[in-house]
Amino acid sequence: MDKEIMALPLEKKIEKSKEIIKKAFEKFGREKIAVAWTGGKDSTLLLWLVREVCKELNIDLPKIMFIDEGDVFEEVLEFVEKVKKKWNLDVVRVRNDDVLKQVNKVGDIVKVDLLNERNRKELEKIGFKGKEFPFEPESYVGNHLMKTVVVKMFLEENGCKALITGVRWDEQEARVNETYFSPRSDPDHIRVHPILHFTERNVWETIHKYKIPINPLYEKGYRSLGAKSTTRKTDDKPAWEQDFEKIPERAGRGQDKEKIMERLRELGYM
Amino acid sequence: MLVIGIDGATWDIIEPNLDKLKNFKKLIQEGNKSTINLSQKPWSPSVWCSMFSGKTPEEHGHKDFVKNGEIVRREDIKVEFIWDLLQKKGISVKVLGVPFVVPPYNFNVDFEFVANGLPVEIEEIKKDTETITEKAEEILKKEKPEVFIVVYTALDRVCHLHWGEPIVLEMYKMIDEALGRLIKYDEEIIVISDHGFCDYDKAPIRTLPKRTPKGEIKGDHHPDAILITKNISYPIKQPEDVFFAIKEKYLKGG
Repeated sequence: MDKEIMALPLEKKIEKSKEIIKKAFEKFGREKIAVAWTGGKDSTLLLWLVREVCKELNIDLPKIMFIDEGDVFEEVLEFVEKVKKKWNLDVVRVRNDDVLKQVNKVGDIVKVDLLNERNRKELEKIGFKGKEFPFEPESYVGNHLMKTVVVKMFLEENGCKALITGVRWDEQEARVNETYFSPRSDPDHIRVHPILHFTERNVWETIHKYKIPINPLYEKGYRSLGAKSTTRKTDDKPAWEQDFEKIPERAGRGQDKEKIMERLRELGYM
Repeated sequence: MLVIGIDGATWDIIEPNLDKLKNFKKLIQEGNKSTINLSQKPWSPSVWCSMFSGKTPEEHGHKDFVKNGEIVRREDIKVEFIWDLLQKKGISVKVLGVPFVVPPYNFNVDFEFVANGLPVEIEEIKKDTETITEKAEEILKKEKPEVFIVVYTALDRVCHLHWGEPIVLEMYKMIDEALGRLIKYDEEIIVISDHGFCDYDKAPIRTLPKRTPKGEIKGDHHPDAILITKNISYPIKQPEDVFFAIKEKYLKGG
């Protein structure tokens, strides 16, 4: 995390983000870039920024990928449709149909031998040796198949050199050391993070100032959106009116499980 | 019938301190005490699972809280527990906090454990024990199910982290007080542990690494578990026998 950049006023931060996006276009070419959009506040802000840059440069938008991990809020799907129309976007919805065809709901059992070769190989890669697992998009296995693998496949199939995402330094501990351009392997590509320096407050300030569409879930009290079955409201107030300092942004996200795993690790059980 | 489980309780601490543990003493005088020398490995998830399913570890196949990077859930263990069978026969049963999974398992009880049933700090551990006792007492007083099973898990944590320190006896005193509050509600009682405890370096089996992020592990599991029964005729020799003792009383011939 760069403290000087974090301390910049909002307009300077927006400029900085646009610079990063422009640099990515120069480096990789618009055709070889994809933008990851979840329908959440950060990636919607990101998409707005990319769109602004494209308008300035008078070029078409890069590929936009929406990851459907199989447990999406209806409100998110509706929001994505609405923004698609409003901004006239071409969005590719990616999902792991091979896993989803075995399940109707979260918790249903997925049998490994019924999966295709690609998914079975991916499970091998992460060391999963079981014969079956319950379908949970945010579990270790679920997250890998439902998010990581579909993104990998999209990047491979489209020959993408870069993927732009909306991660932020202040969102969670694990992201503090992220950089604007971060190389990844399998497949080799660069992750581009134009809004790293936005705080949660900055995100809402920008969204309100520039009238960027807001997913209605945030108004109901959600602060951070994940899979439907594991995401909770953190308060009944709209996200932007909540106490950012007191309640962590990701407090409503699959919290029990993360805490249990952390405790078991601390106690030496794993 | 009332079954009180105490994770990691050992005679090595209880016997020399019976004057300070008056409810243990009272129960031993009114009933029978014995030692269960486990024939299975003293792993908590596995032993508690055996105790209430009547199955050996080879039969139920459950050993760890986490498997393949996933928290193991009740549904992942393909057995019928005694409470499932009792419920089917229309016998009222409630279960609070059996630690074969995390958070500990409840049946017909709505209860959230302190720190998801994994309390570590002394304050958390005390609060965990207190809130379990309060809930258990409320159930026994107001609803009085035919069979009630409650397990205290935090002693195990205290013994792992503080074996040899005064806090261990303090914890036993807390559980003794809890016993006093609960045993008056039933005449048929089983008090049992899933394994005993001893010095880490003398433990015949290591269930945890010596060093953990929460500090050095000072105690570990011993295969001698405790048993106190009152008005229970079925002979309990191994954890699985608890299942059969309950079954014999309530599900005879079925």
